[in-house]
Amino acid sequence: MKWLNRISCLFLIAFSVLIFSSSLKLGIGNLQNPGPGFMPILVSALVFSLSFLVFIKEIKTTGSAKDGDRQTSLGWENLIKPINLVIALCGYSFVLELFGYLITAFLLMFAMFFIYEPKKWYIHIVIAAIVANLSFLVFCKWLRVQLPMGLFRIAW
Amino acid sequence: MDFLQSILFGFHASLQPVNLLYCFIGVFIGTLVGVLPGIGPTGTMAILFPITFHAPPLSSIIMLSGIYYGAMYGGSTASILVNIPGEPASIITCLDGHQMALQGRAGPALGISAFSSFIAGTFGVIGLMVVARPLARAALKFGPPEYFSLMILGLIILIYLTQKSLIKAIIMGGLGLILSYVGMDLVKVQSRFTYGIDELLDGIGIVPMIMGLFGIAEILENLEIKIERSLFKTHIKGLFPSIRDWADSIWAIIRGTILGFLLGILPGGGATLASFVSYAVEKRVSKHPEKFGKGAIEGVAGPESANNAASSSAFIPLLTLGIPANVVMAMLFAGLLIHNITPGPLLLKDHPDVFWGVITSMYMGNIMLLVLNLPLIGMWVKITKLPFRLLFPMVILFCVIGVYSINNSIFDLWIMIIFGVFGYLMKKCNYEPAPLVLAYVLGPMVEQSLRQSLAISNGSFTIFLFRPISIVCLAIGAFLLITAIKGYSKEKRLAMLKEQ
Repeated sequence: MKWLNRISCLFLIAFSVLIFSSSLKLGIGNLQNPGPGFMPILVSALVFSLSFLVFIKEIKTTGSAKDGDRQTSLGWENLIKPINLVIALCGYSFVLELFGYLITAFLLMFAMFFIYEPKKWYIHIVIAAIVANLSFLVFCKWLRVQLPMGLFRIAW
Repeated sequence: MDFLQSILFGFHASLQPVNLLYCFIGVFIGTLVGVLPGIGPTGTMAILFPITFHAPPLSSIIMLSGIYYGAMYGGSTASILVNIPGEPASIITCLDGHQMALQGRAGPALGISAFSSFIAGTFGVIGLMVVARPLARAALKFGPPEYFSLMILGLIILIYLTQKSLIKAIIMGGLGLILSYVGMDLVKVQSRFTYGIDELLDGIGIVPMIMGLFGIAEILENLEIKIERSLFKTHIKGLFPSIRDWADSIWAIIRGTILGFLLGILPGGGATLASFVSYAVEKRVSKHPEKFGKGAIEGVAGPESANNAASSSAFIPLLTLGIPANVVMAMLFAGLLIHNITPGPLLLKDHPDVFWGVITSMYMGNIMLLVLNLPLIGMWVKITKLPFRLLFPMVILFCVIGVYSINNSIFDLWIMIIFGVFGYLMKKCNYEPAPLVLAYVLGPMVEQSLRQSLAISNGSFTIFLFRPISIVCLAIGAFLLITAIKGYSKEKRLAMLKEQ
């Protein structure tokens, strides 16, 4: 997955440049009285130089597979489950305060069971409902963790 | 308070029923996460953070500590029976432990692992008691230059120990430092790198970050690969090692305990390093090195002793200097701060109950672990069979509840997801998350001590060279970096020759 290595380097280079310029704006002060940008500017310069070095190295290396790069053998089909999980988590974060904990926890649990094993969806519904209610009992009732009730105020 | 009085005071605190209960919960959960591959003690501690908000400070820290050293015990069970280490410090136990199990000696392997862990854990706690107090007193004399150099040494050791790329580990350390500067600069009272996002004024929360990097990223990685488990199927018998087994193991246990204790104190060191070094030492001193990797009991006893002794001594830099030695200690550091307790030289004076209570609770924890790991071994074996499809949704659910409940903030959930994806992608590119987290925790202290040192010296960096402790730390750090770079260049040359 050489493209990912290169993108990660470019991301780090861009990030360090952003921090470097922001640090300059913050003011680096002087050695007797270092400003808020003093330490970040030093660290961002270090991250920039090393990321640049890795980027050059990545470009120089030819297309041969290397040890430790086990992901090269993995195709996009292996990324489907992780991508689906991230989408499910993003969806959960969007609707948590709107629908409340019980409904969203049930949906999230169902989505996760379904992502791993899409066939037994009817069993997943039952298990998701049990887990959502049990977790509500443990965290909300026993441990008094404040969880959102949502617009419909569904709880017990 | 004299030494004996302090210990009695500690026992008085740790033997309170509520603290015993939290200790039991901690070691039980620790063993559980040690047995289960996929989520380590760091992620678990992060998940259970919300529970500690409502508990007394001492009970919380006792529980979080129990998770750490409990995972060391449980990790060996998974290594021996399933050949999958539950946590990194047990990787080396797979080599001989699983071979012993395949040869029908799972009982003695589990037994010696539990006994050596108990012996080393107990001696580790005694060492901690003896060393902690004088070191805490000495630490009161430390100034900003000493702190700065010591923390830089800690970061260098962690980077030095990285298993993948040295340069990438330094980059991750740098990223951790940068992220730690997000929020208010307390000296100039000025916001930094918040880019108009009000939620970032308090900085990036450590709990969402750690849960993302260690919990979510780990699950995402496990989702794409199918975990193959070679489960040990026959009945486990003879948990008590024979006299011959004891004779073969006793010196390995002693050496492992001493080595583990010393390596655990090092900032950046810890249980994983200790177990690897112990295995290498045992193989070198053995009269039958060819037996290693084929079921040598010393190959289980040594590393298991070392990782347990190290998990006790790793508390020394945290409790006495206020410097977390590794990522797990960084979590404990955060746990103490949540309860308005600042770890460091003044902890002994300001919160002696926490200081001595945590230390003495480890005695109780070790006894509980011995009981949990020997008679209840059958239960842990069953747990190793728990399918990942049921396990991972629970872990994710605990993560989201844990993160949300800290500030009742959706923003924290986003932080967790972002760091989860970031950690997952960076792992694919061989960037390790541990240097990032340690640097993130140490970042504000490093910056503060650097600024104070420069103010004291009127802008001269030579202040770090004229202080004996500071120069020793920096010299060790420089030596390690040079060694690592030399080793890296040699490896690269060899790889190039191989390619040609």
